[in-house]
Amino acid sequence: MYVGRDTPRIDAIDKVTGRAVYLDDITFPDLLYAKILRSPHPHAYILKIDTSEAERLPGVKAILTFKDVPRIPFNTSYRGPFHSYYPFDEYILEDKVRFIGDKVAAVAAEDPLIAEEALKLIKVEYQPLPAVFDPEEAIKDGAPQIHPEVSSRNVISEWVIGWGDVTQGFRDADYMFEGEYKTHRQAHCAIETHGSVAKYDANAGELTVWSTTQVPFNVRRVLSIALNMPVAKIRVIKTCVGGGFGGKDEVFDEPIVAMLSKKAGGRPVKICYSREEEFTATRVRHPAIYQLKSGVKKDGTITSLYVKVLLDGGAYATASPQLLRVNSTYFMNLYRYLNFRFEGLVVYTNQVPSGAMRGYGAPQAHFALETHMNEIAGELGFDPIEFRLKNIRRSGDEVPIFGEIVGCRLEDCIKIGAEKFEWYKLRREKEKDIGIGVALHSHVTSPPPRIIPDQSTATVCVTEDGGVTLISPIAEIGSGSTTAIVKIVADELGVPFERVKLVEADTSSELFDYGTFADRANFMGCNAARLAAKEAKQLILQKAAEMLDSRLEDLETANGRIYVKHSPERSVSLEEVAKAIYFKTGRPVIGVGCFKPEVNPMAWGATFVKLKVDRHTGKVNILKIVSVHDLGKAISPEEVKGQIRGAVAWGVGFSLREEVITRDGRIMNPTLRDYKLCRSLDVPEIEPVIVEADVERPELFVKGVGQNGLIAIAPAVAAAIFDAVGIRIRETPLSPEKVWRALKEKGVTEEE
Amino acid sequence: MKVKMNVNGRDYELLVEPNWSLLDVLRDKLRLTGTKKGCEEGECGACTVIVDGKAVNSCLVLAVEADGKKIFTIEGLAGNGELHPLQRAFVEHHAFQCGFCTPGMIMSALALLNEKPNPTEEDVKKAIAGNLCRCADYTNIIKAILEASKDVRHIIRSQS
Repeated sequence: MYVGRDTPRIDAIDKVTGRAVYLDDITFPDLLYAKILRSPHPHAYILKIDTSEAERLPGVKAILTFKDVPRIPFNTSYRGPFHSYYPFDEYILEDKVRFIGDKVAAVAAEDPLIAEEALKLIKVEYQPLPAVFDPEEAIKDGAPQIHPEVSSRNVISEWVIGWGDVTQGFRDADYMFEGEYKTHRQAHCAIETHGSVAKYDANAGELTVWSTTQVPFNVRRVLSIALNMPVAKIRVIKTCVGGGFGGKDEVFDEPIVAMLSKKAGGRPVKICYSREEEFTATRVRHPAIYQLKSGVKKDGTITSLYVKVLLDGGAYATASPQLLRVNSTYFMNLYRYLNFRFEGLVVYTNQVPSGAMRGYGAPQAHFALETHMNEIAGELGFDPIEFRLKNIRRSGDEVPIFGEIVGCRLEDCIKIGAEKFEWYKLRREKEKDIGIGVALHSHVTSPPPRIIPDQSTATVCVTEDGGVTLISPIAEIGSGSTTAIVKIVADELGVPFERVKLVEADTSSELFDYGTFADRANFMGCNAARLAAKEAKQLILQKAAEMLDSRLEDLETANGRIYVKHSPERSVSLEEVAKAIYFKTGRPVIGVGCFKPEVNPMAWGATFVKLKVDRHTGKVNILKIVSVHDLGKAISPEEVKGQIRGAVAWGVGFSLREEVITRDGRIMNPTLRDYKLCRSLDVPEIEPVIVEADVERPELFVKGVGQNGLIAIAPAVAAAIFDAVGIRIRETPLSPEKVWRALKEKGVTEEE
Repeated sequence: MKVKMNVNGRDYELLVEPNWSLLDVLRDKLRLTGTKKGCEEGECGACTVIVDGKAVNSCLVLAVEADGKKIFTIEGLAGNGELHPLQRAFVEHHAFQCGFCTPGMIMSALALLNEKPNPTEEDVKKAIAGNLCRCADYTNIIKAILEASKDVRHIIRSQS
């Protein structure tokens, strides 16, 4: 069995030798380079735009403004008819701009420097409009309306869900708790910036697009809408992705380069974002403001929880409506309450758009929920772990959207983690300025099917020489999913891992898939590939049964051979069977797998943090993190640990230092010098702990683990800061400044 | 302007503009695209190459400054289908995810091992402090570099 065993990744050699082909490595002899003119205003009409001088610059081959593009609205994250609640609020280019960095015009030229030069020659006359930068201001009467044609009061989406009667729940409680929790903007900062190449063939009316994307089929769908072209005439090829993290989960400038290529007579056009554009013109994590109110009985039972959230969606809707819906699930899935209500709003502001980002709203929700839970436990004198063990969900519980919880090992995660972390010992032996904190998480694996249906496909072909070609549409974005899928197929067919050749399908394969997000790549990819392998295996076994004069049920496969159970001397090689099928029946051996889950496996876990606070500077030094995950089955254990450690480092960044600072809509720190990512010296000791599930339904084995490590870091850090120096901070990031100010306010001095 | 440089053991004579970076020359003129462009401001380290034995951000070096220099890129490491011990260690220790920072990371590690064949963990952390990995599992990268440092013989070969 390869599942559960570490093997080298299938992309290893290409990646360590520099041969892997990323977007910017693609070139053509007649390639043109595109640059985009961006708005200096947070909100304005474009009254006039004059490109005549830019057009005369030698080397400029095509210029686009709003006058040159179809007036068809679209949404860059649109995944299909079930996304009827997604506003179509964007055009390829428009005569209105809504954030500093919004696109105004585009140039394609022989050289990137010429394109840059041409941008300076485009004359634009703007009529600035009043702008709004704060989500609370945006929903007030009289606020500037950012998308009046698709929204009122700047509301992108509203979502209310719950059960019971929260008011009655509060009456039934012995204690009430209330708190406001705020989280900030975070940037994806993939080291590879966004980019795409387009080549339009006017004779055939066909478009080919190369893109560093997580979602090739979505890119094709949105291109088809925006350009009014049939899906079959568009081919989207994902290149090797140098980091996605949700930032490449939608369409960016593919429609623009497509139109530029068309205008430039079919010459291929490439765009690659600068680091500054990466900060100012892509997506960020939704800033959030949560109001939580809870009722608790003396014994620690939670009678009622009311959650109100306001998310800042920025200038365009993108995935905000779905992210808001998923946000409610984080509050519903972790604890039992008799009464619960979630009221959420996500609104437009004239800020850089918010979008999908590793964690998908969970870090924000868990900062609120888990900080709140730690406060309750502290106030009522419970150990935070005991308080949670009393209230957490367990298998068999019914929750909205997901239904019955199956195979939940959250309780074990808490207990195993507490032991590894030596929680109780550290609680007893408190050291000065050192604190410990805990927080839990739940997260989706692929979007919840009851609100966002999911599906995937794969084909497995046994070749004429008994090898295996697996064609999978799963977009590898670095997490090792394709290696995991190859293992599943090797195990299913009983062939050596090396005999399975993976072909990463582009959209022309028509193996429909939604792309890599929501930790769905392993769950969907492995299950679809397993079904395809099963079907191919069935064809092989039917023929083998004939050749071995055996009943089909008596056959088994191993090491590339088919054996009769209990009489291993009767066997035939996969190659012999394949040859017999190919050359005698005239048919290839191809299995098609289609996977459409009715439920999806939720992932759970617990995070333990130990840290030291410097009273002099307010700096928090994280000493150790234990990150425990109920993840179903670890297909590649070392890769899983890598995902956990990486996510934890993201969580550390989110908790302490990574903040996109904006002033009147302008990003003040759009460089990697001023926006501080974790470097090798900044990552604390991290202990990833894997807790595997024991459930009956094998398709539920593969839970997500790419995002989960980061979700509960911030609340655990906040709790540990409280434990260390007695200050509660309810706003991220937990920066030295905030800690220092809180210490000052509380009158905690260095001498104490 | 005319510059001469030796890249991965091969001599080149090139005509370059004064404002071209070494990174652009490597990627666009010599088509050595293993060296990556991440920020063009010397912060991410994806473009790290070795110039006369020292790891540098090639985005911050002008092509004219590389005149007469010996340059070593990721493409110079594996020979005849055989991986360099650093590359092999990166494979074995799962020391990459998206792989975009990997070439730069390996070049920084190579410069370290050339200078200090038996580095401590702290040495390794410092040597790659200029290389950002946003997938952010530095643990396995550090492990791989320490493991590779045990294979001294190969390190010496790579210098020649």
